[in-house]
Amino acid sequence: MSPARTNEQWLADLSSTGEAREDALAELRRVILEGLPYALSNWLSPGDPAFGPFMEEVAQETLLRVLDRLESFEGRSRFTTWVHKIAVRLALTELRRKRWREVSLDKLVAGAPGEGFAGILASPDVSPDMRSEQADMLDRIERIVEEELTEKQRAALVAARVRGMPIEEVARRMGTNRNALYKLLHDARLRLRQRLASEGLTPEDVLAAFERR
Amino acid sequence: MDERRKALSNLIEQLRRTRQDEIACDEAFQFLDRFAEAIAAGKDTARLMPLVQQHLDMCPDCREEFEALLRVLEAHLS
Repeated sequence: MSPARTNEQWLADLSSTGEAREDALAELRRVILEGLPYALSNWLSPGDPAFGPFMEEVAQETLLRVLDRLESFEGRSRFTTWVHKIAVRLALTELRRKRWREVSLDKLVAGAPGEGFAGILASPDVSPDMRSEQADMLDRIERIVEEELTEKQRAALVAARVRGMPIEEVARRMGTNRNALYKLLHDARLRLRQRLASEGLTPEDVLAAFERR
Repeated sequence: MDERRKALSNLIEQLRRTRQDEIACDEAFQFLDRFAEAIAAGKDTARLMPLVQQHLDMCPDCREEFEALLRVLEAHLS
């Protein structure tokens, strides 16, 4: 087996033409395929019939993207690490898309009829004497969420942070991108925290109301 | 723990750890290869790259991608 390529050798070969480039692409494909099973061990096992074809698809997409972005590689990590990163992002994006394909945002975000944000979070299994304390706290949270957040922020928060929808999936349904959605959620968090503080409620106070049963 | 109480708990914990200055996903992704290598090498990333660490604490999707990348690095492949 040939010795491992340095970053410079990878870049030189992939930027060239002919055999050097073809050899490098073949080697890089091998590197990607070797790493993906480890990366995706929580999602797919090698025994799954979809495993092989999916890996190939990801490897091909990754090679295209690597070639397209070759100039953006800054050399601050190993080239293969940078490539694995791109492969992981491509693979997980696709796996998440498939898993959540059938899920509608509206249905995910809606609670039971008449149920607000707090209702979505309320726990059924609470003793009667604790119920009113929790109900009060939930009402306060409900009011804070409604007064501080936009409808979009509320929906994004419920979908992403309560229901666990990947933010890319939420973003796509809202006609935006992952980066923008993260900023939207960050703003929401800042507003909620600030408002809690101005009401004299620490996060610990809120948690404490729900810790006891 | 009841799923909804866990969701509330996670949300409150996120509020508690929220910072005014946070980087978003694109910027975190840009640093992810460096960050993962630093973690794999046992470096003090909380000190060296605190904004990336903060983002991963706040973003389950980026964290999942980071953990996947780390698994690849820790497999010590050729």
